[in-house]
Amino acid sequence: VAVLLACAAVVAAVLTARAAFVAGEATGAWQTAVRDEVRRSSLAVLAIDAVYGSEGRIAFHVATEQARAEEARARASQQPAELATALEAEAQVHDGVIEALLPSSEIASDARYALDGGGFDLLLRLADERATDPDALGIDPEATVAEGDASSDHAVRLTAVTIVVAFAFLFGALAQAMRRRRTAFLVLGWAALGASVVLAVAVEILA
Amino acid sequence: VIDLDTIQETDDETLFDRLTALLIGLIAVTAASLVLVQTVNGEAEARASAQATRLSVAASARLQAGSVHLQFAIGSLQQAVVLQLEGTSQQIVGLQGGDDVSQVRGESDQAAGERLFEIAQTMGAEPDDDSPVDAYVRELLTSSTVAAAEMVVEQNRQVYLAQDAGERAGRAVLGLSFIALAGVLVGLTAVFGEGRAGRLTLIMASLGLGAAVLTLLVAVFLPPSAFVPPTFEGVPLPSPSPSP
Repeated sequence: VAVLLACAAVVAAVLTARAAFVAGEATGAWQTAVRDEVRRSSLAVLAIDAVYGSEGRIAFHVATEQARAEEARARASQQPAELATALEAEAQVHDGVIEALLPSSEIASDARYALDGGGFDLLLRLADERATDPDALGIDPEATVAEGDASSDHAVRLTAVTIVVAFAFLFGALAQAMRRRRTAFLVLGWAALGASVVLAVAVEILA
Repeated sequence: VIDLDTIQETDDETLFDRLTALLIGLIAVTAASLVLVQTVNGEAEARASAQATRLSVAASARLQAGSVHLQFAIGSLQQAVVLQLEGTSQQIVGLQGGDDVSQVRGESDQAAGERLFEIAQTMGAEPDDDSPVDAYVRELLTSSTVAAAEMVVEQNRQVYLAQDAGERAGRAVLGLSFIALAGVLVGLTAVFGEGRAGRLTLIMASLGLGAAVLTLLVAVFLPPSAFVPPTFEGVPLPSPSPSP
């Protein structure tokens, strides 16, 4: 009886300690997922703000000046000399603004971003901006949550096995108090303890 | 909770000893069950709390990203329309004053404004599946207000789930306190033996076990209060009926 109770106590202690460790891993994974979400969203919002809130505005200003200069020149060729000169002068004013703005706009000064019908490809710029930090693209909080879920299930299963160990303890206690049925209770106790060990091993293998 | 010596005190095979042994065993089983309930609900609380925080961040990011994108898209369209209006206005003024230069400049700006409107639409367009941006950014830029509101509803639901699981875990801890008390009392029972004091502590230990079992049942089976989702005026939302 004493050996059964001692073994049950050891198995329960090992299972509880292991379950606590695995549960800690689950909680850690969920907290990591929160940190990942904060990092992922911060980096993405910063990139979007940089492109649409800052760079995009200057690029659109350049596109505006380009459109005005092109339209003025397109009309100048169809007008008498006096009006053509005025329109050409107007176009040159817009050219001057473009020249002044170009050095401050990485989008407008890079031909890769220029669109055929005028304007600039801000989504391509945003993709390039994001590609400067490849680690940010790999952040996946959902995967981290799934890891936490798996660890949590593992911990719960291990804890559930301790109930079987508790039954081993119950049978051991009854074996001590009922001498005439001691053998039966001992058999039941050892069977419960053996089952708990088998279940614990199965939980570990399946985890 | 249970001392081996306590069990060894119960080998006289009297009814008192049998009851004491049974009580010891049941305390062990109940304690293990309470630990399981506490673990399940503790894990559920930790997960739901983390998910609630995550969803807050995610909803905030969607609203912020959408706002920046929308500001650009609407702002550039407005600039294009203003340029068209300025061109039209300049043409009218030129026509009224007989100023040909003003008229052609107005025509030019109006045409530029019309072109710029298309450019603004292209530059401010939402990304589609073929766009070069990554899936997460695409999701941020295409997420609707309704989707963000639904995310907030889910965030509220996670907070509710965390509270419910926390209450259940708390009840399990209360049950474990009763079990600890019952364990101490059954230890005293074994020390006192089959006398008046022994019987009294045995009864008290049984009551402690009963209280623990009752707490266990309440922790597992007491139905949760209904979840009341937040409302958003003007935003059509499905009516979820979640329960933990």
